[in-house]
Amino acid sequence: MKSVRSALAATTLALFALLLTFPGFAQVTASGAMPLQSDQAFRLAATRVDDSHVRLEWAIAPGYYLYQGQFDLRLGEAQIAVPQAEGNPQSKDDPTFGVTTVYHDRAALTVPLASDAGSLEVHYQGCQESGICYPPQVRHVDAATLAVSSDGEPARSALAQQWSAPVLENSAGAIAIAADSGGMVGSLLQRGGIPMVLASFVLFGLLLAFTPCVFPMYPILAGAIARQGERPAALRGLTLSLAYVLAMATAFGLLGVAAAWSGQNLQMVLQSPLAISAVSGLFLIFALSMFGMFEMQLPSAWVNSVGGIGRGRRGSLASAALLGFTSALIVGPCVTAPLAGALIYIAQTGDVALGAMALFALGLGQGVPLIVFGTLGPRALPRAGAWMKAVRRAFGFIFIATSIWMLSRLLPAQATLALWALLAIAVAVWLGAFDALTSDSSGTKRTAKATGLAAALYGAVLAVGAASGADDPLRPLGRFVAAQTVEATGKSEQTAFRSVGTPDELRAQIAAADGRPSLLYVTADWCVTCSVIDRNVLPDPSIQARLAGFNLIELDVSENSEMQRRMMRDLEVAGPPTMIFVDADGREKAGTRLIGDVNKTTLAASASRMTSAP
Amino acid sequence: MTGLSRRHALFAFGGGILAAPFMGRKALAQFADVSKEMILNDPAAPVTGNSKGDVTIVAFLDYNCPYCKKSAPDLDRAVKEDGKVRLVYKDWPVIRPTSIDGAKLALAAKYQDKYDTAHHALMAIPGSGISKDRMRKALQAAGIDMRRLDADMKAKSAEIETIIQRNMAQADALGLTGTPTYLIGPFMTSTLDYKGFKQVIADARAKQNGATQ
Repeated sequence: MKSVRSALAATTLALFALLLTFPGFAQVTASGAMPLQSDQAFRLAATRVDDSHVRLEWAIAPGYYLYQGQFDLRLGEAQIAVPQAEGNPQSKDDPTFGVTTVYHDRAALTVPLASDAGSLEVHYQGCQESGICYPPQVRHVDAATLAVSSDGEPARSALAQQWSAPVLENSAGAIAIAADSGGMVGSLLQRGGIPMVLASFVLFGLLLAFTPCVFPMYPILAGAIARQGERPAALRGLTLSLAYVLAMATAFGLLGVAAAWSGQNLQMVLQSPLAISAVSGLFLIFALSMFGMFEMQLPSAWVNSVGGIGRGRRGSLASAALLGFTSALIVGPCVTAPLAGALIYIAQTGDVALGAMALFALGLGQGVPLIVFGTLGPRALPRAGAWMKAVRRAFGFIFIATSIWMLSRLLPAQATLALWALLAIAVAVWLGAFDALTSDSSGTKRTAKATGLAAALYGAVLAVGAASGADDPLRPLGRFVAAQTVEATGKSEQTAFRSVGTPDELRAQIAAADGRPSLLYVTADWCVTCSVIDRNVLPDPSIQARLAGFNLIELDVSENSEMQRRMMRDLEVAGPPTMIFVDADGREKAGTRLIGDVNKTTLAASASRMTSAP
Repeated sequence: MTGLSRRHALFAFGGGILAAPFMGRKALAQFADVSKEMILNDPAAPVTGNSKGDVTIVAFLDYNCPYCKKSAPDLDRAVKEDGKVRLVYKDWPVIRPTSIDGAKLALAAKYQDKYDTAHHALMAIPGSGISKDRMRKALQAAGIDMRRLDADMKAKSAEIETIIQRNMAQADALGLTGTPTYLIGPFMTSTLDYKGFKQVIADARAKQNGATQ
């Protein structure tokens, strides 16, 4: 009881303390690449607010800004007063520019405009940070259809192709960044706007709900609901699970806010050895509770202070909410690709609102199965009985497995293998592998014993493997089997990435590409999604074939040193995993960068775009 | 079609200094020599640096453009130190209505061989949206003969406008998105710092030499 309380408190404190210690990042600056076309830098969309108002909203690309003082609106000959713009006005005071007020990320104007008013002329002007300033832009917004049109941007003619972007030597190490390195969220935003981003994140959350990290939430939620009454009504279950899920989603939303504010990649915090050990320990405690060592309950002082009355309906709702909120902390370190991608994007753009909304949507998606479970579960399932015990025990083993899996990022592979061996043997014992059967033992018992014996055998093999120095649970005896051809197996089989640590080394590696395109893989040992990529994506034969013609370079940012941070900033990388594809001249190809969501499909797509005609 | 949005924008901003007939499409067709040769070697365009230099920088600039002003000292230093760079100025007045005033004033100073002086005086005024009056004061302080300047602006107005017109057509043909844009040998880039200019000039030289050998 006590240990649960202190572990929860310790985790919470550790996470928040870490969140507060990260300073903001410097602004992204131009690095020699040609600027975006103005419609890509400032995407204008119009929506009707009511019969007499239209909202004009600009989505501003990272590293670009609009001037507050340069909005202008005309309807025919008449000038319309420009309303106060929404957004986050920032004062820019530079000796060369004078004082100006600008908008980053987004700006919006709500304009009085009836649907029969005709065509609204919208004027605006902006710049690329440390790059260029655009001429004033004019767009026409049709009051009836809200279509946005322009008089046409100057198109680049064949003439322009006689000049190319130079490759600048900064700490990006001879890589010229493509202008559109927005990543997954960026491309979702481009395809379907904010609704698309939110819908996708609900879906991602739903997928996350079926990962082991979310499993502990089921017994926790079941406990919270069951405690309230003998047999809770479906409505009661629904209310409580809703409170639980909403609080969990809010916690995620706050994480998004923190990510946007700090400008840092929170992944690193969530995946720090401290957080990982804490959560691994938590899972072990959950497991012990599943084995009936103690009953898990949130510290009553917390519940009381939040619930006000402490007991009764409000108290129970509040405690469900508080449980949900803290549960998000458990899932946090189980970062998967969508969460990683979202955190990177948010840190990069500093878009607080979108970040919070996206992660809230993620939390909601994650909560859908929980709500279904909370509403139907307690009624549909038999109240108690031997089977419940078995389920709890199964959960217990799953939690121990999750705990080991988390620890595996910190422990040497052989130690992890030894832990797996122990777990397999423990499972065998619980399944009754070493219990005596009698002639009248039931079929269930016999099956359990058979399964248990298999687990024991696997455990023994793992133990032998660990002792021999093997590190792969699926090939524990690999060292014996392939003793002669050891070099041809395992990691050495993978395409070799050459490691760089400084801009000069990066430049040298790119120069050594010898006419081939290069793939720069930004990774870190604390990055879980990176190890998934290393294990499942890169060794895949089809990916190996795709990458055969590439000069493979790896930038390891595990230490988060000053140099590594500077290189990430200049490469416009907010965090690992990020993959950057550059041509033989060190120029990044637009639309190929992979941020967070690196899988076989996306990697193959980007690789083939590099090798296809320019 | 391509050039019209720019001009449209300028007019909408009340920058009707350029008379409507002058900005018409016919005029555009008449003056628009958008060949690479004219972009690099327009005899009417002001040139500074080493006129026989092996690397040519073509700078598309505006006197209301903050990043032009920010990079101007670095460009000057890099060109001066290198000694073998030919710098061509293209006045491309697109940022604010008064940009056109700045371009005309600077180009008029060419007739008293003071384009460079005028250019630096105008680039040194910080900020955007500089009034014509403030520009004139800066030119006067820099030692431009203002009476001569006004006379040349009147007498040579057609010539001056033709240059600006041609610059605009060239910028549109190049698909330029804004100012500053620098063509440095075979490279096209925007704001650079001193180190950046030095490096791109060196790269341009290396690439040109590689191509000719």
